[in-house]
Amino acid sequence: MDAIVVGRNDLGESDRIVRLLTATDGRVSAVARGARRSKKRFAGALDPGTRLTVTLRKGRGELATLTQATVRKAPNRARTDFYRIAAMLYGCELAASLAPEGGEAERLYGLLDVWLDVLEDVQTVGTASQVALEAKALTFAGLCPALVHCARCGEPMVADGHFDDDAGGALHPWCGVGKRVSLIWLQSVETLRRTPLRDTVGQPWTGSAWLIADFARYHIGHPLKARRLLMDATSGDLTP
Amino acid sequence: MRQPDPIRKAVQQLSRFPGIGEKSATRLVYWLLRAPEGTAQEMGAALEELAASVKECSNCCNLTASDPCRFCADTKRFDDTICVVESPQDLLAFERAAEYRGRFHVLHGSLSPLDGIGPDALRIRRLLERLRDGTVKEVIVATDPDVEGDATALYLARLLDGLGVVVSRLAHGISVGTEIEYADAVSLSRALENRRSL
Repeated sequence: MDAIVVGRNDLGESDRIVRLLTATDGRVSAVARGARRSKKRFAGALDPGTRLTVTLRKGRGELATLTQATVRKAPNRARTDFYRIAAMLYGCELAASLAPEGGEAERLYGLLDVWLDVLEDVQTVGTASQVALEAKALTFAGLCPALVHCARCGEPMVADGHFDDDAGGALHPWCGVGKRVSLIWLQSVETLRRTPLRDTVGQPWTGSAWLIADFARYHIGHPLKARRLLMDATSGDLTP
Repeated sequence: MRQPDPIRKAVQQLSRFPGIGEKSATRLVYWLLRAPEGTAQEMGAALEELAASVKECSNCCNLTASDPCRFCADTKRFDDTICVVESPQDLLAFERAAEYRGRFHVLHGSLSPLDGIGPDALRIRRLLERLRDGTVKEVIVATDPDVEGDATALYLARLLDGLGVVVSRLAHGISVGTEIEYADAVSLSRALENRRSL
């Protein structure tokens, strides 16, 4: 089965719990026995962002055991640039947080796969691609924000309005309150959402870069931990 | 079978060690009870002293019983290079290699964004303070070659950019003694990427 490593935790002295995103089974956790003690068996394979072909053995316990992991693609360029590594980890966490555990997640898996390719291939990724990633991930998880229609009355957005996470996205000023957003911003996010991720690379972006991420956080139910690093990487102010 | 209280207490305490379960802890406690007189007292005293006297070096953040630590107090070491490591154990690994004669700085961890560990949790502010007087010319980032180590190294490289120090990183690739046939794909591609002319 093909999988992408989206996280890992240490288990005891020598094992690791690896969190994988798969197309058929969504989020899967598995124990990689001896992964911390011996570098031979899983060398370099269990870092987030690595694309693998894995063999899992399901036992009686809750967690499967990772018996084999062959690297299909390891992040290379994404690990040599601060923005790219932050964006890679953010993408992994976002997709993993939205994917169901044990259910089909083909589109989220495909999206993360393309995101990892983009981080390897292109010269400059840009904020537009990050917003596109978030909007698409939410869409594929069934949580697409209302952008061109009011989340409350369903009528088209024809002028600047508000954006409210709880209401489900854009609102006419007379339908509710939230963060102020321009019509252009709403239309731009909608266009990015419908554009293939790779084609969003290098597109100019103005307006809030984090409103869709806030929307994702609200619906996921917890903040994404990698967001802080990505914000640091994009802001340029790194002083701890 | 219910163990007497002091034994149960000792087992509970020893099971707190990483990698020591209740069975191993019980074995250790019974070994201690059969050991020559004074063994348990000596161990207890050593542990007490450990907690009371070991702290972070105010300069490099290494764990030490004397401040500054012996690496910072050593006048024969070069002041123009700082090797940044994740843990005191990593520092000792460099000392075992006996190749490096500069100074050290211990971060006490690495950036782990997926676990919510950011720069504030590491001893980075102290590192910045050490670079202020201009003595240091090179910072060698010796973090682990995993995603967290890479993130830490790239963060430091960007943070220290413009401070007038060269920031370098340990080479990655296949380890000495490895047969290429058995090298993993990731290490091999890193080795290729970091190849040097002869």
